[in-house]
Amino acid sequence: MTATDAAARADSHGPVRTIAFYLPQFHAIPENDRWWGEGFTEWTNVRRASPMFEGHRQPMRPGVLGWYDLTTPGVAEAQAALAREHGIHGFCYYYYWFNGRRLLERPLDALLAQGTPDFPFCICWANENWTRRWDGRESDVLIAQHYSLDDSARLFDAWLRLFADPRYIRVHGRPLLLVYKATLIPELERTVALWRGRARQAGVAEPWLVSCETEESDAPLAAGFDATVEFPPHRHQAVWLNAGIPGLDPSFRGLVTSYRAQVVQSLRRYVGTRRRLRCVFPSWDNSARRGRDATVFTGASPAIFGHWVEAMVRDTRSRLQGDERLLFVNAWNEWAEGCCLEPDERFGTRNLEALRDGLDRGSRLPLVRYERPALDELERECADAIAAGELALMRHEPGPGRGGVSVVMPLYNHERYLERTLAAIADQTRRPDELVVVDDGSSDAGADLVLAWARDAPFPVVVARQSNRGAHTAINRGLALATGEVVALSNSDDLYEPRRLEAMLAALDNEHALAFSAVRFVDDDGHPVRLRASEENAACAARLAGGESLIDVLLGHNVAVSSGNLVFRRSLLAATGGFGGYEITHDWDFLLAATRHTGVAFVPEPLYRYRVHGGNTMAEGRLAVHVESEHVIGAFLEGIGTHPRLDAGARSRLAAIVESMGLSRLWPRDIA
Amino acid sequence: MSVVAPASRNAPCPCGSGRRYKDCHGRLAADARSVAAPSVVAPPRADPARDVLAQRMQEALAAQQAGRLDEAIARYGEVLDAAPDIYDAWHMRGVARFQALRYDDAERDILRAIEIAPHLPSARQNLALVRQGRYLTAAEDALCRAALPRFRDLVAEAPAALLDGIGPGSLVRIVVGAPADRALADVLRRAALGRNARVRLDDAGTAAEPDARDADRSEYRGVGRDSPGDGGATVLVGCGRPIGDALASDGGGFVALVADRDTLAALVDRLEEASGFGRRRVRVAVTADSPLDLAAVPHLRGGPW
Repeated sequence: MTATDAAARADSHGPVRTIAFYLPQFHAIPENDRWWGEGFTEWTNVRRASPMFEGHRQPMRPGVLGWYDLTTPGVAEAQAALAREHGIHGFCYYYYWFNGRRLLERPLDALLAQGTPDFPFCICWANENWTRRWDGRESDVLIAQHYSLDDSARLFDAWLRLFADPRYIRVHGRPLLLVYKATLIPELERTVALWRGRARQAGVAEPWLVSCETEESDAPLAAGFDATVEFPPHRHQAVWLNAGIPGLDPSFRGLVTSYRAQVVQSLRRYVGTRRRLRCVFPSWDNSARRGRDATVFTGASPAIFGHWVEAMVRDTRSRLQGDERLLFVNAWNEWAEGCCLEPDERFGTRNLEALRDGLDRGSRLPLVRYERPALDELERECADAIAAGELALMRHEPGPGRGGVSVVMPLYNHERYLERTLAAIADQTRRPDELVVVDDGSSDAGADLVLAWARDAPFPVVVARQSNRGAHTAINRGLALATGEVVALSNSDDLYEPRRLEAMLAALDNEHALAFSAVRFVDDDGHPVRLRASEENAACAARLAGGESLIDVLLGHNVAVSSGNLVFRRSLLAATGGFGGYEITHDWDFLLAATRHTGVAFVPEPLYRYRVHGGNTMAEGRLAVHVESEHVIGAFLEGIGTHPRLDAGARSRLAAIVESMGLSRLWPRDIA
Repeated sequence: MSVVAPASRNAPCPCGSGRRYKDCHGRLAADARSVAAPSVVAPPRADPARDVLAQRMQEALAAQQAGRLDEAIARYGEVLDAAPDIYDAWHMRGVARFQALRYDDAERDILRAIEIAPHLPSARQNLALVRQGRYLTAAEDALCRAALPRFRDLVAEAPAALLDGIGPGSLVRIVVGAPADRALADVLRRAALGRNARVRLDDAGTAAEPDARDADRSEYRGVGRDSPGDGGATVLVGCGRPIGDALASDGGGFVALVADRDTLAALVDRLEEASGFGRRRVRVAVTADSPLDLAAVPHLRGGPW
């Protein structure tokens, strides 16, 4: 097993711990009695909700746990049992503190005093005013949050008792502490320093501080927080669906939006190098709180939720190690926000089951690694793979190397097209000096076909086979095995025009270490087809031919269409690295990265015939395309400030293009 | 396309862009109001023909702000028929079409507006929103497809014929999703009658008054909470009409969902409801020429029923 294999499969860096936010507002307190009426609890609002349109899932009613009161013995134990059974590691209780006065403290205090349930927990300081409008605004304040360093010190001392509890959740041995709206705390940096100092004074570990992403701000991290945690649906980019809702109550002034759009936005979110913890929710509808001004997410389903969970578990494992592998769920029981894992009358335990299933599946998926591997790492990995028998060399006849052109071809289940593809390569006016084929675990006999063909091939042929790991891995290993000075990639079902290599080599020069050509889209029989994709591609090619800057066009579309269309000097790999772990868009990522290191030549003649068929990974219908595209652009834009080939004018042009694509959120905030 | 406006226009826009509301979604409202002022390409006020057009624009705008999008679109079209060079009309009609989720049409209109007045930024911003919206719709569809195997436990093994188990005395309730589904509903009605079943047709389009709801708002006429009883069936034809909790209680008989020219997103929404949010497995069928492809889920394709 190679080192990469070991990392991906054994994944000994620890499981993902799932923590659900826990609302204690399910018992009467004198303050709520006074402000909202006798006996007020969260359930009061939940009972009052009304449907505003056909299919509106209101009012919500609890399932097996009933209209519980958190001061009733046995309830907390039942909740913990249900959570534990479905893979939840612990609860994050909201902690309310108003200058020494605590609210909704009884469940947490009981937890400490009784030592049961035996279920891990942590806290989130819910540092917001309580108002009549449930949104923390200035007017109609019921009780206000007043900040001072003194108060923050006393607060921390009160927390020490919680941190000492053996059930308290720790990260690197440090108690996990969330703050809901850190941006509201004046002198935040001093407060953080104060808290850390206080811990040291008490002889205990400093807290591992996490800021909830309720506001868009870098201030908490800058002030010394260890990480941030997403807090959806905050920061959700609303799709306004009201106009399309039949029977929508005309008095409704709120927002009907899409759960699936939320999931898509989360799946594609570019996290980069930030230490950011992910958060998911099963549904959201605050009709019980806001009535006619509610925000309602439609289209929620345990199936979609489970898919989201699975993806976020994989994302968490791929970016974070050990104790930091934390996934949050909003929420265990935010009933008045229609946001709960607890069983309700409609869905029962389906959301909990979907969570458990997603956690399980997500923990068994191979890690995602988008970063392009360095050339020496790539070569070492290939050698290790051969030594371990994971990459089998079925034929090894390397080419002459110096001055040569290697065609590198990843192969996957294209036995049907191979004869013609290989023939087109052999018929080149400028023949390659070597062909390297890496079979990505095909289930058909393509590799055998290549071996048979290689016996009479007009150039040396290398054939290697691996288990199915994705095209990017096959390409990377092909690059490691190739000996030519120039590499021309090829898909195993596409067709080179006879003049391709000749023309592409002519396009490479001192200024241009990478080139691609115009593309003709063809069907299974090789006949040209017209689709949206081919129309868009033709339009892009026309823009390039008309003199528009490559990066301007490339940012919006992968105008090269496919990795098979790329021809480059192998030495370029020392700067770019190999291909990143994108399932589909690894070529686009490579191209954008290359622009930092070389000019890229576009040859307007259509020298590559790209085959479109049912199983084609280019189809817009593949979720991976949508998810990966944002990562590709985000990764490229992260370095836009230091791109060596863009001046200020070119950068501002790109900023405008990014804005017209609706992707300004990916533009680094500190760059004009 | 509007979000709920915050109290202060300087507050962050609720859409999450990070920009202030007045620079983000607040702009649309501002643009809509700006129609009252002369646009860049409007000729002098003295022209009575232009006064008529200005009034049309006001009407269109009022309709748009009231959510009567088709009416607004029609009014803007009237203005453009008379004067094809008015930036505001192209722009606002594009926005109205966007609000109606018709992304391609919206994009065309807004691009035309940008051509007329390329220096005005608001159309460009709305163009970005249109493209985002279209992209998101395609992405949602892809998400449904990727998650399709997880819907498997809501779907029944496909019987030989959709109405298998229906015979003399069965009650089949056929629920019509949209007017376009009536023809298909009729085919199923005749198939049920052919099995000597009784048929009840629930068609929202022919139901009584638009606000035919019970006082507590929890029932909608046309799709009542009663079940067909043992030996019967509820057949939902078309996925366009939400049915909410109508099938949420356990009842006798089976439930079938027939999709035709529906999106995958609409289908899975109806599937959740048809299953009673997980209480039963649903027989799913797609018509022979439906673009839907449900390889991951056992289903029938086309008749006979």
